[in-house]
Amino acid sequence: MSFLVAFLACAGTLSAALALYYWQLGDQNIIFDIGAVQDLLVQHDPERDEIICRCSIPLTNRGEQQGMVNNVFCQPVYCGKIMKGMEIRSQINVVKEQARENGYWESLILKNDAYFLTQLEVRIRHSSVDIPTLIRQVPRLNIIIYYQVVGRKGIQWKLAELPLPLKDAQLPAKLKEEKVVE
Amino acid sequence: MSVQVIPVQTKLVTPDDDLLEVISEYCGPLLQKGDILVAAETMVAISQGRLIRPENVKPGRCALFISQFIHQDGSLSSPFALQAVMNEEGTLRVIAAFIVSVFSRVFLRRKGDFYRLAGKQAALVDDITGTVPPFDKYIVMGPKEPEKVVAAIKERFGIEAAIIDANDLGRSQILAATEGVDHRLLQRVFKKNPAGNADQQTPLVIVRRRA
Repeated sequence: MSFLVAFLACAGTLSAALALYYWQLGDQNIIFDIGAVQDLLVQHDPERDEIICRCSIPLTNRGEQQGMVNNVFCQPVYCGKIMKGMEIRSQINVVKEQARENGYWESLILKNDAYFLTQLEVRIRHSSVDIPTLIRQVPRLNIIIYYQVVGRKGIQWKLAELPLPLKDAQLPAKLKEEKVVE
Repeated sequence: MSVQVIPVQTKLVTPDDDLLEVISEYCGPLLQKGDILVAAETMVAISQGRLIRPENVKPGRCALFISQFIHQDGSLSSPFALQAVMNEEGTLRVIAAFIVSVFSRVFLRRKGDFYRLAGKQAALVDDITGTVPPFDKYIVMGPKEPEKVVAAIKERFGIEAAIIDANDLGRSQILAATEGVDHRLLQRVFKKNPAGNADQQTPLVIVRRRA
């Protein structure tokens, strides 16, 4: 009887210790840190009749364990009927040497307390409306970034929403100078 | 005696490709009698379709638990890769390997028993991010029946053949080789990993002896 009690006590203690170990290990906490967006540029390119938005977004792991960012997709939030004629191309890449020029997101490992800088580029055109009219109707366009993180405790789909202030669109510096001369 | 090592660049090999046809297309004109043709294990595995999307793997409690004890730099620290190995090698085998390795690690201070006991796939599996795109999104298992693959290469091309798992860390493992292959020579040659592990895309290497 005493052996059984001792055995159960040992098994219980071991189970509790393992559960505690598992719990304290934690998990990844990888996020696109929208609050730390840098170098936001919104530019109106009259030659191509499009708006180009560019910014750098840190991809940060604030968790206790590493995680793998396996897929990333960008998509605009619906902004009304004007969207019917809008052509929006968005691309997000990790800023690194020998970065791929296309939109392919190469899976990456992000250690805890580490970060990568990513660059988001969004190009917006409209088939029937000129850019100033488009800006008046859509002063702000929200872009949603969906991303899949494979961690040591499962797969998570997360999203980040980034507002792009189209109303702040600037002309390229060269064109501005030309206007001043005129 | 010195050896000449010729890494052969190929197209991106996919599960739609026949490995022997790929070898014929890219190495055929280069091969000479007495050569050893060495194929990277990942390429062989990919040509066999040994790819699994992590989304299609449901890790069980054992995989979730055991993976936490594996160093996070290893592929099996991911419960998805570990579950994929359990599906091939057997859950009980992996659990037994884990228990034995815990004891041998604690009491004998010996490392690596888990990989030795859990089956070949435990050492060969590559987790996502471990392979060149587009296979970076897949768990890539080790090749199936590598002995048959090297035998088929020898039969078709009349040269010795081997399948090797090499990496940039100076470690290489010969998975299978035909009888005439000098294992020590290959270990020496592949210590420097002439094929590379990234975008070099040279999964075939011809090793040629020079008198």
